[in-house]
Amino acid sequence: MAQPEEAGVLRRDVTVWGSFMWGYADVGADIYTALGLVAGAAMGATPVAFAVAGIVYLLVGLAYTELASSYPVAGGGQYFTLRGLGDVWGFVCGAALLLDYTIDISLFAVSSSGYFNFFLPALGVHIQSFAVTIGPFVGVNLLWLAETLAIIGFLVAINYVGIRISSRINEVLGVVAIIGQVVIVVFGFVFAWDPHLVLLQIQFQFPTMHKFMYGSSLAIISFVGLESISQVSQETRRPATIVPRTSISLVLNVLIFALAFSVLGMGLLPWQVLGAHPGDPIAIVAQKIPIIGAIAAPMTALIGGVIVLISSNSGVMSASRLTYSMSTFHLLPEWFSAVHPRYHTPYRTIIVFSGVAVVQAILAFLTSQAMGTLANMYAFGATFGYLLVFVSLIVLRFKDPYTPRPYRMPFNIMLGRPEDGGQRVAFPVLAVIGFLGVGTILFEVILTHAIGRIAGPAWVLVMLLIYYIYRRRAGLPPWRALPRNWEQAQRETLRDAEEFELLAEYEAALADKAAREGQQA
Amino acid sequence: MPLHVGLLGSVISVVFVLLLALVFRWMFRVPRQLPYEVAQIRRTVNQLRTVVVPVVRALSSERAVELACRLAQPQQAKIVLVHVVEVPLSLPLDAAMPLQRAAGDEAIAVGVTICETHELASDGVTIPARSAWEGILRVARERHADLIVLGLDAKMRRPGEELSRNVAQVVRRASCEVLVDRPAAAVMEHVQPAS
Repeated sequence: MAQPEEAGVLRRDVTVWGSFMWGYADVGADIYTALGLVAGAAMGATPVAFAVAGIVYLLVGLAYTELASSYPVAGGGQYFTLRGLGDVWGFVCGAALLLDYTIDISLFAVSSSGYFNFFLPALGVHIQSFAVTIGPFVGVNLLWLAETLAIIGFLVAINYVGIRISSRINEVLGVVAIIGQVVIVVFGFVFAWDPHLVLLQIQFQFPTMHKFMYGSSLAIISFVGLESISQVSQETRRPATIVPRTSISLVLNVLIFALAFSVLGMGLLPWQVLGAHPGDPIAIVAQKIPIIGAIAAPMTALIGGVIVLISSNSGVMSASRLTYSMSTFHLLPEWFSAVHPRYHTPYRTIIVFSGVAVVQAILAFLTSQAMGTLANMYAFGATFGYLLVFVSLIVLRFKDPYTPRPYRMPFNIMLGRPEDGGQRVAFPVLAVIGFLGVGTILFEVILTHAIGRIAGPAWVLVMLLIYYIYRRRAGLPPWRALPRNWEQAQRETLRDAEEFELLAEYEAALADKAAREGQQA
Repeated sequence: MPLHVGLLGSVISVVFVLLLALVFRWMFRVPRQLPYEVAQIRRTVNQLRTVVVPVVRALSSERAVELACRLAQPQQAKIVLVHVVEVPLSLPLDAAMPLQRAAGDEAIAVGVTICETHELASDGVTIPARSAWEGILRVARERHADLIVLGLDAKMRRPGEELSRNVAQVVRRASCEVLVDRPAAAVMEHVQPAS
């Protein structure tokens, strides 16, 4: 158990902009890598592939908005699944999302240092000259690896010190990135975009159904990261009020940017050119723009480096807060739940799971396709986790209709008859559609992603083994949910969040429930 | 090289920037935070189950019953109409006071009619007490009232007093919420304070 002096609470430091940027930091970087990969697969239908994935993402976003505003605690999807489906599924969801976060740290640290390497030739340094052969591993780039490890170390340090610092870094860097992206999109559309090229490519370069499915499953990668807002909701001021706004804004922003970049790219270049540059597609797009074209490449490299750096930072934050939540609920050893007495941060989880990301980065550098290896597993964790979140949302509507929902997914069917002593339940039709959509994409991922379909489930199984051993040693039932007083927990959460109106509403709903139960008895 | 400005591209750019601006504008317009006390009031009005209304033969009582009914109607709360027969200390508490009781029954009957107009359930209670405020508080306590609605009768005030003694005591001592209804100034002009 955590010592009393160590057990603390996470501070509510994150503002509206901070909450938005935690999500944007994670999702905003994805388009920088996804555009080239999707163009290579979906060909002329690249904007359509983004739109299809965007619809699924929209539904995921609405589900997260409802759950994160109703249950504003650290843990995100793992917590929602724990409440809806119990300990084992809560842990499985947490393990899947943890895979994503650790990959988020390593993948974007690799990518960020890759973008910064763009400037090395100007200093007379050539990155390829640092590639060496170590035993059977050929082309291991020691400088790039060292840069990656240095970035992870830097991010660990700022998250260790406290969220106020790292949140501010996110906020400042995010503004720079958004302004840069807006400049590229506006200049591109006004001065260089050719609508005929878009139409020609859609008409004559449409892919086969199999390739399109592969492309749309890759496109979902560009939308991974919404979970971060939920993760930081326990540290957000007035989360039930702010989180719905920041979540919906993030969903719309990312959709707008993803569609804008894909339509712009297809109106500037043939899909083959974008597909041939999976590492820097946005820079290739920017190069084609008049006026800013001369400086577009370095500017895009700088923005790319910045935005993927904050994405990596978001991964450190989310991984540590997720494991903090899991240990609090006895899904991982309580050792992880210790909060630093001075900085009020879950410092042990920050160090341990950033360490996992370091191992992933080192192993990835031993393969010929470091980024490809990491990216292959990225979609598995997200889609698997999202699938469980949709199920949890539906189950929680029945199990816990009393918790006030400041935001509710639209299109519901009302069930139950209050005149018979029952509670009315709003059955979420969109959640069912979202479940089917995410399920389809998970199926595509398993079908088409060679590394993801093996490494993803393997990670979950290994984590499940760790869970089993921990629960047995701690004398806790491995396969049964522990008894928990969710009502009291919800009261404390709302009181702590200063959401007094919701607290009063919750108390009234519980009083009605007690009165009904009394009448029935 | 001459710059070419595309019309459709420009329109898309404007739409793109406008959409982003609208989304951010909406995101930053966060509603004001309600303090705990205010939030409680908003919720308790919706959660009223039992409302106690002291009644006498006066327009102020009818106003109070009408107000209580309007507050109670959305959630079909119960209205308890109370008439307190003030028994002087020179008499035993169970002394028969037929005139006062008859006046009370009359006031309660008027209140019941108002409640029926709003299709609300009501109870009439006539109780003896040494002072009206004691009787009101006793009924409120026994019926687990969520709210007491008091009609302010200008005739009952003494010169220099803002509230009558009974109203002041109920406001001070009630454990539930208390609402005092004072008519608008134009209505008050027709009613002169007692001298």
